[in-house]
Amino acid sequence: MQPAIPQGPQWGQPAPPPGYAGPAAIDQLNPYAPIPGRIVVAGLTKQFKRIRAVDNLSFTVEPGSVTGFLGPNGAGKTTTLRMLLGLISTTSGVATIGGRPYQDLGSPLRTVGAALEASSFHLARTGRNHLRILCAAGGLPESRADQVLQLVGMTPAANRKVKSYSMGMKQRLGLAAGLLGDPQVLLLDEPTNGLDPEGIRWMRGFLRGLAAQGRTILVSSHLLAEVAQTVDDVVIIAHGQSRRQGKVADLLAEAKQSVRVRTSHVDQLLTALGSQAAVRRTSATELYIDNVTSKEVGRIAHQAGVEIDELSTVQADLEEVFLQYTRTGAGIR
Amino acid sequence: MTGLLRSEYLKVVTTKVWWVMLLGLLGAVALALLVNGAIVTNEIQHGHETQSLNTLAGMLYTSGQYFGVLFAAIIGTLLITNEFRHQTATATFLATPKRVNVIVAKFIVAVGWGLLYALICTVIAIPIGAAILSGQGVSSQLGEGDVVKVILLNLVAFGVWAVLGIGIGTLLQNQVGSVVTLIVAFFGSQLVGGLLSAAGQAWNLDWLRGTFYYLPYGATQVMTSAGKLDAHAPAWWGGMLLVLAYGAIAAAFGSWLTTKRDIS
Repeated sequence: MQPAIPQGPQWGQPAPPPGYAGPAAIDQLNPYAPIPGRIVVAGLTKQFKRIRAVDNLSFTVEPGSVTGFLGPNGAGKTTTLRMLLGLISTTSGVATIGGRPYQDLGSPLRTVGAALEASSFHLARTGRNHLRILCAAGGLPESRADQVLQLVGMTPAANRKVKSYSMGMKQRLGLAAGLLGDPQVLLLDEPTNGLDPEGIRWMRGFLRGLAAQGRTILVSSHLLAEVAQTVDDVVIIAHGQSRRQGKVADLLAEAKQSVRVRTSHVDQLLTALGSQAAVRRTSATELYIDNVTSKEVGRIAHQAGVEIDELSTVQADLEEVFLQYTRTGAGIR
Repeated sequence: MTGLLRSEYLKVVTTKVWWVMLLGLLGAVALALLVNGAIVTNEIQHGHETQSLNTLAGMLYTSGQYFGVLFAAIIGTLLITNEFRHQTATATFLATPKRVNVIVAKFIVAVGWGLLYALICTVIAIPIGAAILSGQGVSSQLGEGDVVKVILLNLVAFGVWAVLGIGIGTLLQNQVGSVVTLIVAFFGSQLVGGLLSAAGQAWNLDWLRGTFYYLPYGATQVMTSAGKLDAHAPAWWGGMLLVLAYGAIAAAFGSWLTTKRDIS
């Protein structure tokens, strides 16, 4: 049964007539449009007793794309993911996957896989038994447990109790649980949290592999740099509200680029650059010049006959860009 | 539903609690057979004037019930509170977003476990009980309808207490809190009921005298006794209805709460 579609400008057009399934004509903003693998969050709000954890949040994740869901700690990322998964009730708004709320998915594990926090295991149970229990509940063959354990490299620890697992192993087990139904959509909440550098590298590579298989992935993180190489799109939130959405490439372009020059003839070069250039002199022999290319600086120096010891492009800190969108007080409320 | 039942069954057998409880239960049965055996032997030797042979036989055959129903309730409580204590509720409700189905599966598995415990108690208590009776030159009474009824209702008692356990678990969520509440409810209802009944006796208040038999444990005893325990106790079927009502209320309220709760 399809729930009533909320009407109003924020929802775009009203629902398509019953029985109509031509995707081309279905409005892009209709959260109930039956487009497999698409995630729609529309006007989502969660009011806890005192705190508005998520505030009129809207975004879509298109099938096959990998989206970074970014925000500082306490921004509402986990609450949003849990609302998407039907674990937390919504105060208002809707969240759908493939056009349906999670509770209405026929076989949820085959449609959506989720890896939330890595502490959700019975410590006295083995990793393999944890997965067998989920297989039984989700109508999946129990052989899937062994398959996903192999996939995440956990076969040697399969029959050990979870209490003996390291943080990295728990993260892998959580990921394995999400992959049980071989779902097209994956929701991952801070999958690299608490991992050592080697674990982080493994997790990144693994996620890239999943993305390359054409899965829709929504991965949350409080570090932009953490996911910048993996994701296509970003949704940045702070205080439960959307702050910035778009291609990660566009966001990266916003990161200020500077050219770093080392020369023993700083004054000569300054004169040659002219007064318009945004120049910071960091030492007697070093300059940073904003909003120019290193090629241009090289040409100017060459024309002025200034000998240059070093010329390089410096990418401003990615986190600076991220902070610029999220910095409006601490995430602790 | 079969998948869900298997899932809940696996949750019980993949940790060791169930057989630790079973060991405790076996100890309780042994202890109860010793005590009941002594009481019954004494009664028969003194002409069993106060209690009928059926009552005595029923007491022997339900040996282990006293702690057994508590164990059944604790298994039920753990089945639900483990989900919150270890945060496995997240994975559970992701696999089965229709939470009522999870709760129903838990009820069925917990009742099944209660029945299994009851069966184990009964299988041990019947031959030993019959041997004690024949040792006193009395027949086993197993042909008596009242005694058979008691044995069967004893199974029901374990099942209902398992339901009570789940009900309290869904209500409180907190594992230690739920187990403590169960134990307090179990012994406390006997103590409070006993005191109120005694007060009724002392002040000659008829309505107070039966209190013990209307609280969960007393009602269970009423249900599983051959013949009337006390002039102020309800009939066996009244006890059964009461016990079922306690279970149903706990179950219904707990299920409703669980479907509403945010899992975070």
